[in-house]
Amino acid sequence: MITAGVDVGAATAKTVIVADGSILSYAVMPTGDSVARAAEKVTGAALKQARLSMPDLGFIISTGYGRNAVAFAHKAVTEIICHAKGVNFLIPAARTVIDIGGQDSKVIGVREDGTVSDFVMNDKCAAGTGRFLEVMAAVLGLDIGEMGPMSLTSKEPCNISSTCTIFAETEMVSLRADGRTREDIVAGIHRAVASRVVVMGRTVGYRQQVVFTGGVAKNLGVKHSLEVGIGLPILIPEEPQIVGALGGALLAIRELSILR
Amino acid sequence: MYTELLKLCSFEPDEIERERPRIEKAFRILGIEEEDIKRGEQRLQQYLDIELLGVRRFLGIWMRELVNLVLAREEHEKIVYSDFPMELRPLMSMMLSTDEKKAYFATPGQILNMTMGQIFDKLTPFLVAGEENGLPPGGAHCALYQTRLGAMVKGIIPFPDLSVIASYHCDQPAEAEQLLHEVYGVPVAYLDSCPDPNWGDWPKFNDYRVRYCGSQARKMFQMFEEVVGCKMTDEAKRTANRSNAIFRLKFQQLVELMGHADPQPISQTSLVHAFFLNSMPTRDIAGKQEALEILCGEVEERVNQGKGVVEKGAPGVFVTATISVDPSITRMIEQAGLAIRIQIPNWLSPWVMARHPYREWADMIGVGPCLDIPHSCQAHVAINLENCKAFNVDGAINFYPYSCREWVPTVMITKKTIEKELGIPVLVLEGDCYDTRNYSAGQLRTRVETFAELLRATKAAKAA
Repeated sequence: MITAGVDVGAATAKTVIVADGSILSYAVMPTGDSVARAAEKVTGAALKQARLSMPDLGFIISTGYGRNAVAFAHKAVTEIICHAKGVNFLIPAARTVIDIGGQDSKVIGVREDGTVSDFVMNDKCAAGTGRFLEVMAAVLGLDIGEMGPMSLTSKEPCNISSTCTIFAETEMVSLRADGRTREDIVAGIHRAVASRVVVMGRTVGYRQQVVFTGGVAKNLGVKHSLEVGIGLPILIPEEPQIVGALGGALLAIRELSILR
Repeated sequence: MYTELLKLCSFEPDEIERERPRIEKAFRILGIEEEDIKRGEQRLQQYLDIELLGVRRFLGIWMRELVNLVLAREEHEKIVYSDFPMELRPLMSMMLSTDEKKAYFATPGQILNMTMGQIFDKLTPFLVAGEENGLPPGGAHCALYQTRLGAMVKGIIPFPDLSVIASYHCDQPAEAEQLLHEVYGVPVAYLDSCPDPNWGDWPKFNDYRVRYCGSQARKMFQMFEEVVGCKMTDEAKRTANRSNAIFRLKFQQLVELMGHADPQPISQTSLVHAFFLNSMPTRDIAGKQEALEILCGEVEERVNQGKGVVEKGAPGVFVTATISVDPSITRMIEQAGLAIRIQIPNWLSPWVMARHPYREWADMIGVGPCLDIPHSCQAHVAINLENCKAFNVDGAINFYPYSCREWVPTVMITKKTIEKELGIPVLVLEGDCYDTRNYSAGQLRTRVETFAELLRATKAAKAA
């Protein structure tokens, strides 16, 4: 029984292929300007890696913002449901998922069976998302990958008072003019992102284990700030970006079983 | 080019022929072109139960009012405007104290929303004009008032001779109409109150509030008599009160019928036209009552036949969004597989009606059209909770309309209260009742579909 999950997000497209309950292959690439094309390309890459072709996939579930534009998918499911399922598979004890993607952030309550118990989502404001980090990295002339390790060396994180990406950008300029170090500024940025998410997620509540997914989960500085904010340790899957696609592939197994 | 559209709005061929010059003139002023007509036809078929005669009759009332509104200056001596949250009965009383030729009464914001918004999806130019002429973006102004101001300054609808506005639970009408007075010289009559109850007062009303509001109403009527040159008559008040009561009670029956039916017989989008006639004065009193009778009969028939727009046994929800402009939100909830048991709760809930039987109508002005919101946040929360209980729902969707002063304060309190008291999940859905630029369908869809899945899983678990 081979299934696939295709997660087309605002920033990246991901496909995971699952065979007999374990991950066979996966691929990640930028979404670019065409959701449909990105879905095809990323699924093609995952298939190639697994030495399979499209007809080998018994059921495909699409998810993410572009889920309804994936023509070859058999069903579209929201990324919230897929993330809960994916996290439940990887870390069965997980009860809370913090997912920060390119242009949104979510806090999801997860039941023992991997279904969603509650959720809250921000996709209206760039603050508290990966986009915020991208903008700030550009202002500071940094590669986004450098930000995590750099912030962990900060001695006195800056206080970024603006909760808006645009205003925070201006604040960066002022902080640099004041002679603050890049390390302190970056640590302050991570705290600002984390605080937005921490406050948003309080309506759902944080219960252990807390798992951090999405592209921003690769940033250890944000992880640290989130841990401080919620007062709980946070686990990160080995490949946090593919959790939604993995959940889709796992949900596809159930769909295929029903069909058969 | 518009014949088919008007037929969908229950216009008979002879009426179309007779009214052609008026319709064409109004459509020309409104800038309605062939592509708008096509879009309108497509939207009516996509979102409404357009096969139902009752729905078409209600659409007809709104479409006729659109034409009347645009041509009001050349067809009437005086024009009086109002808009939400003004109570209908004083408006109707004033209207019925005059003859049709003498004065035209309308709630232009609502008319434009129901027609240019819901049918033609062409509201943005009005909103932009409103923003450019005194109600700027970023100021959290109510889009209902931006729309009507925009339509006036664009010369599409006339400026009124009098604006009658209630400001007892929202500052926007007063703010927008003060602008209308200061900048454009329109006389404005305010119906004010003092909404300052304590938490715990509900369901008692402060007599002082009612008396104060009554005295404001008298001032408003005096101003009406001076500006329009007509005397308020007792007969007009009685007729307004009676017709309003008959319509509301019948509508309440329809709401209850819908709420207890499984499967949900028609889309809740098909009820909004009737709902908003609870606050829009029309001289076609018989027409709106007849449309409601027809719609009730048609819904009852569907219930008896077991026909529905949502699968039988679907999770039932209480939704607080009564959106006139964008029917896609309500349809999205239904298409996600959720049965909307009740969407129009606050004005007409049986619970409220039972506690507040019809009193002297002056008193009713004091407590307002929605009963709960002008009373207090506590009342709003309590009624939402009671509606969830009354219709035994599996969850609730609490709409969070940006820039809406009366809805926003209680959204999170309502969520917490319902979740705590009833143990059912509540989704907060952010959007806007009147301005589709403030949200996107994609954003809402992810939330709604996830919530639907959550409710299905919970319901299945309970059943097991």
